[in-house]
This record gives sequence, C-alpha cells and structure tokens, in this order.
Amino acid sequence: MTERTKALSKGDQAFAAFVELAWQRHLRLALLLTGDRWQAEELLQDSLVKIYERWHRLSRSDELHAYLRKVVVNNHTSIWRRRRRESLVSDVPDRPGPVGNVVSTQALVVREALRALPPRQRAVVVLRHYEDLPEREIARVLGCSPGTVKSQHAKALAKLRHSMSEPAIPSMR
Amino acid sequence: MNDLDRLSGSLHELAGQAASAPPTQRLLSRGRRARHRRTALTGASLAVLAVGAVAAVAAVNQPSGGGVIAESPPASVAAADPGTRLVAAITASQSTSYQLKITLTSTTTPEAAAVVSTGAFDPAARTGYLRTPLGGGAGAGEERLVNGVQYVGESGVDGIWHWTRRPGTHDNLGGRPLLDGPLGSTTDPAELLAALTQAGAVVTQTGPNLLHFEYTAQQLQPLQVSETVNGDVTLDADGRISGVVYDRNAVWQKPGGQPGPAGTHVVVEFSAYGTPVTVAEPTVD
Repeated sequence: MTERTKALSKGDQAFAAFVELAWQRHLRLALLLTGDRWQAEELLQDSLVKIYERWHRLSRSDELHAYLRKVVVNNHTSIWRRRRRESLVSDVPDRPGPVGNVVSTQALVVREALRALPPRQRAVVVLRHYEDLPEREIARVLGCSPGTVKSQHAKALAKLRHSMSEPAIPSMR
Repeated sequence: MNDLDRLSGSLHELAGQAASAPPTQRLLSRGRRARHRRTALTGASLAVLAVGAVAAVAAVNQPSGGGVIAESPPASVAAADPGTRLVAAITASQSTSYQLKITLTSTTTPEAAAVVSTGAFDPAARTGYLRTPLGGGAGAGEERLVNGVQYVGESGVDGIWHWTRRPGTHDNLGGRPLLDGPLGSTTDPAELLAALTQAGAVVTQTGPNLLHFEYTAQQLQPLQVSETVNGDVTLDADGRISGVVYDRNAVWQKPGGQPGPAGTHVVVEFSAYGTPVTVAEPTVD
C-alpha cells in the first residue's frame, strides 16, 4: 500500500478497490455502447464519478456492479442525446476511434451496425447478447417495461440483420 | 451457428478490445471535486437566484417609503448599470410564460445542418416542453415538464414516442446540453443569470436595449482546454428578454491527438410572453 493510499479515508479506499475491480468489466460494456475506446473511458469515468458522489449511500457490494451498469447505460443514453443535438460540435467525436487489436471483419460490421442503432436499442442488444441479461433485468436497467424491451429488441435485431447483410461496412466504402 | 450466435461472438470479440489501467487516483480527485461543487451549488437554486434577482432590483430602485418593486421593471431601470438592467430583465421575463426557439449552428463546421429546438415554458406552473427534430427526419427528442414532473421522450423513424420519467420534481425542463457550454441551459432566463454569474461574465450596455456579455470559462469540462463566450442580450419594449445570441469558442483535447477548436453560434429567441402553456402528460413506457 502506498503512502498516498494510506492517506485515503475508509470510504475512498473502498471506492478505489471497487474501481480496480470494476474497471475492465464495465469498460467492455462501455466500449460496446459507444463503439469508441476513448468515449468508453470517458463514459465509464463519468459514471464512476457519479457512483463516488453517492458512495456513502451504496453499501451492498453485490449490487454495486448492477448499479454501475445501470449508470453507464443511462449515462450513455443522455450523452448520446446531448451529442446528437450538438453533432455540430466538430471533432468532439461521435465517430469510431482506432481499433486496438485486429478484429474480424464480422466484428467490425457488428460495431458499425450497432452504432447505427438508437442508444436504447443498442443497450438492449448489448445487455441481452453480451451481458446475457433476461428481459426483466434489462427492463430494470433501462427503467421501462419488459414489453418495451421485447419490442425494442425485435426492432434492433431487424435493423442489425439488415445492416449486417450489406456487403461492406460504411467506413470501409 | 446462427445469427444470434454470431452477434454474441462479435460482441465478445469487440469487448475484448477494451484494456486499460483504471485511473483510480484521477477518479478520486474528480469525485471529490464533484462532491465539493455539488455542496457549493446547493444554495444556488433557481428559487434563490430569483429572490436574488428581485432583491438586486429592489436594492437599486428602493422607493422612499420602503417596499418591494413590482414584477415589471420601472422606467428608472433603463438608466441603471448594465448588470442591474440584465437582472431586471430576467426578473421581468421569469414571472410569466413564454415561447422559445433555440438555433445552434457550427462556426467550425459551417456545412453542418443547424439544430433547431422549439418549445414553451411557464415557470410559475412548472410546465413546458422543448422539442428537437433530428436531421433528415430521423425522429425527434423532447424534454417535457408537467406540473414539475420531468419527462424525456424520443422517437425514431417509425414515429413512435418512448417516454421516461425523471424522479423527483423540477423547476426547469432539464436535460439541456452541456457541450454548448453553460449557456446551454438558457431555456429559462433565470438560468441565464445563474450561468453568467457563475462564469463571472462582464456585462456592458452597447445599445438602448442591448447588453453585451463575455467571459472566459474558469471551470472546464473533461478534455476541454479552453472556452470563451461572448454574446448579446436583447430586451423588448417591456424590458423583458427577447433574445440571446452568443458565440462559444472552445478548444478540445482530442484523445490521442492535438487540441482542436469547436465553435458554436447560438440564437435563443423568447416570444409570446403571457401566452398560456398547455402540455399533456405523456405515457411512460
């Protein structure tokens, strides 16, 4: 433990431990939602700061990951809405950043197809097919009914199938 | 392997791209600053600002027999200093309902389409709406306030609206963007005062009914290098705000690249003061 860590309060120490534990897991979720690693880090950092502000009211560690997931998803929807309105703020990017390692063409197609979805549909797809959550749990995360999740999921899959059936991803044309 | 298996496999492959060390110390610092800011701002609510605005006007225009100045600014305000005139205009504007239109254009990307939001707001009834169509008819987004309850809705190309309700009760439409700077919240003239006060703006009078303001932001957003804002507030014949026009020039640190400029030109038009505002409560999903 470093001197700097020793100086932390118990609350800060617990938060720091949670960050260490949660970072990679939720960074993957954020990356799928944003499609961009820098935006993903920004989204996760903003979400963790919100968690920090409420830290003293969050006690049960088994629910912390679920709560952070909810904050990340809803934060992303809010940011997306803001940026959609201000898409004219040039170069504050809502465009894919560089891919770290080589991924398959199929994965790139999925990434582009995901980015074409509205944020809630994107979230439904990621929560269902990456986080493997049931519809009822997705409804809790998004704050809507399971019926809405079901309809959003169906629409999202239809759009994804259409996008993925195209011969090449848009950014490679 | 079916479509869903391929989708799931691709998602896991893409997710595997995420790898970086957690910025724990930075998060602790940001969290402490955020907590401190929240504490500091607790007393700066809309109500307090409104009281402050009235008090400021009253202080300048205190009648000899005492008492508080009426809602509409007296003629003597016209001769007052620019800051007092702005406060008076805000006081006059926030006591009644109005319609508004916000137009954002980019000065660094002139070819980008303008984003135009329209709405109406009644501060006393805590009721209003602000709707923003998307480019190319791809749908729309809307913030709605009904008796203090905030709703956020969006529709896609299918035209079907999906609404969520924000918890608690509110005095404003909420959900306004941060990326076009503190003045992005000027759907309510009172918030203009809050934004300018917080930013430490310098206000000068440049015409009979024209007030100029400018400031350099002291509190920057993440990834922001600098921000300057300058604009004008136009008053109508009744001393209320009829328009706010400003240019915001920011420089952003692009992750992994060199800082780049982003300029926004914003026009906020207030009109139809006193017109009743009726907004239906939406059906939440």
